[in-house]
Amino acid sequence: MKAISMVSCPPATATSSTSGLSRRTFLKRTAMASAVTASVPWIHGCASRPMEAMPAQPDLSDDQRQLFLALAPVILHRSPEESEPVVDRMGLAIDSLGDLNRSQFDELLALLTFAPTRVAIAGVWPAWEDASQKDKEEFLEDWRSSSLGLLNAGYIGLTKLTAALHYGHPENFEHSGYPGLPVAVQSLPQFQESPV
Amino acid sequence: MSLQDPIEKGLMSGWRIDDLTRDDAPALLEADVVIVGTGAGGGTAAEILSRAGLSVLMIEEGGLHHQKDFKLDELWAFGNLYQEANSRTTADAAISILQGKSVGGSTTINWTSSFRTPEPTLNYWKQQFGVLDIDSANMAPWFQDRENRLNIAPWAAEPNANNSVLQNGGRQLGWNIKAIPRNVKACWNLGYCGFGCPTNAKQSMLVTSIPDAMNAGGRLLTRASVSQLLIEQGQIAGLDCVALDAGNHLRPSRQCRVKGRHYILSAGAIGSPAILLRSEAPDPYGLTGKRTFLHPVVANIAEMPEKVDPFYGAPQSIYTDEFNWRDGNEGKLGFKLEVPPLHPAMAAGVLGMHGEDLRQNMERLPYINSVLALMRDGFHEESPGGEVKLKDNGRPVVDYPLNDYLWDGVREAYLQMAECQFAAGAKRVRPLHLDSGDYRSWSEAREAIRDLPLKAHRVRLFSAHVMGGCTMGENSRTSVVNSFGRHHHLNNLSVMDGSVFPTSIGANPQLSIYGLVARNASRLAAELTG
Repeated sequence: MKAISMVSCPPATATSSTSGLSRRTFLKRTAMASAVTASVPWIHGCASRPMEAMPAQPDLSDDQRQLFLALAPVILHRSPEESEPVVDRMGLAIDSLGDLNRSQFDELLALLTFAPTRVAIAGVWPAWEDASQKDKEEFLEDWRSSSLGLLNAGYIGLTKLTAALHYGHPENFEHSGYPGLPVAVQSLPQFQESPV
Repeated sequence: MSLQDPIEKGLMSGWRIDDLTRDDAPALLEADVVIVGTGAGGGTAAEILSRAGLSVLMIEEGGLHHQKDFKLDELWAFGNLYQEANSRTTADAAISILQGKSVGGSTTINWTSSFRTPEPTLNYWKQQFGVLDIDSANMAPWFQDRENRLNIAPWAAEPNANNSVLQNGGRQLGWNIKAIPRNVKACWNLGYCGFGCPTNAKQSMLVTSIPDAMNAGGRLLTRASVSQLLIEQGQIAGLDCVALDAGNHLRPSRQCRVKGRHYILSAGAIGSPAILLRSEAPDPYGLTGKRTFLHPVVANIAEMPEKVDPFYGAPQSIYTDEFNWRDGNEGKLGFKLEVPPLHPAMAAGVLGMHGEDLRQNMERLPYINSVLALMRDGFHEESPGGEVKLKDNGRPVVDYPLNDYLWDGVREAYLQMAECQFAAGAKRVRPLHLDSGDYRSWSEAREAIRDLPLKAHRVRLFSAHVMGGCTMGENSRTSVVNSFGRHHHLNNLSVMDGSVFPTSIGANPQLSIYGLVARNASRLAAELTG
């Protein structure tokens, strides 16, 4: 058995200043955005060694929680109250993605929650809890429509997980017109009080 | 009867099953044959080898989940029955990969489509890769054997409304439309095959071959991820496993060493090459992990005038090969058209939308049909497939380059699917593409699809079939294993799963794996007992 040790991803750092630029102006300078993101190994780029283990981290950090509290209502087009349960489930969901995807997600969230990189790659100047509806909508639309595949992938990662956690939960079945389980299954043993 | 769970019965009868995350798990296990993986390949091999009187140990990375756990909960299924909680992707995240991870592997969560390997595919393997005894006449008895064992027959009931869209639209256009053969027995036609069959109607490895092997004295080690094979003098001397817990975390403090006379890799076309690469298995021509195929999938959604309820009913029952071999084996990229089920979380995840757009589309879910195209990759010099590589932390990823040959097939598929959906009466059609809008007519769709930019991350791409990476053939300069799955350089190692396919299949691959592994495992059983 080869040595098993803990993985630690290199900290994400921004390499350029964006002061004086509007978000859109900055993001349109894709070459510059490339220079920032190319140095960030968030798509399967975390360096480490054979079959190493990452420790469990089922809780979001405060910064990560603020990020999702800000974005989930915009992604889902629902009130903050309706969106909060998704945020409550998000930490455990990310933790169970497996080490590869989890380290990617951690990288992405580190970039979006560290102020200089938040401004640089998301174009959001205020902290997430202070960002306006317009800031957040523009961020999502910019990443969705960007010509940089890396940003599209980040957009898909954020929206897919948020949307699946919302619509997959029985409390929200009515939001998709899904009537729920067929009645017939209630006769199956796994739905009885004490399975036979 | 279908309500009698074979796993529950087996547990009560004292099957020998160990969970490597538990305190009482063994640190050393031995068997005649050690099989890594319990999906279509591993399950079939276990059944056949144990029936021949050999002691068999199956090793599974996921947990043992069965009827008592199958409560039709989509998010539970993603977390417990799918690799990486259904978040697996290619290296650049451009293609989402659905792959199983529990006892039964992908057969526990597949949609039951069971096709024999198409004749043009078998011929191509024989001609281009020199695979022996692979023509239809040689393979027919093996497919028949597995069809009998797994109750495979074309779906005789009416297709659900979602599949009817492909049937009706295709017939309008004069396409050859057929019913999909399914591996089910007394199916309730519920629609939850992807969450673990709640009635045990699906004849997956979980309720057929694995119970056979266990009843014959087999042994099962679950939640055990194989870290490496121990190679000594051209032989496998053992292998090491590390516990992988329910939350997908490796537990390095829990390990097990396993020894056998013969070893079989059936860990799927990502897992099997990855184990060989991690073990630094002899590979003088650098072939391991190369020629990895995905059947890349693109899909359209359509809003129909009447409810489709795409979450209910047998998920896949209708297909057409109208475009699969149209341009011959080696011409333009061919594709098979089928229909996917859409449950809420899956639908929300594949749309690639947010805000009002997401909310409005999800509110219309009962009216949404989807048609998908499964691309037949690997038959053309411009379709060399991808490569399984190891990250520095030992985890495998698939690097799958996308090129114009693929994009030409994607555009053609978007067009054919849209025409079919409008022919079936769709009010609007939308390719799953980040630049697509809603198209209200076939003529509008035709013009717009011609202009859609086709590139990674704009096109929503999926794969449910990972194949290749341990190509079979007789020439060790071009293949990793021989025609019967034996490794060219390690004489007590076989590979028995979809990773031996020299190309993709051109159809959902489970029966191709069952048939080929039944043949190869029978041959191996004769050699080991002879």
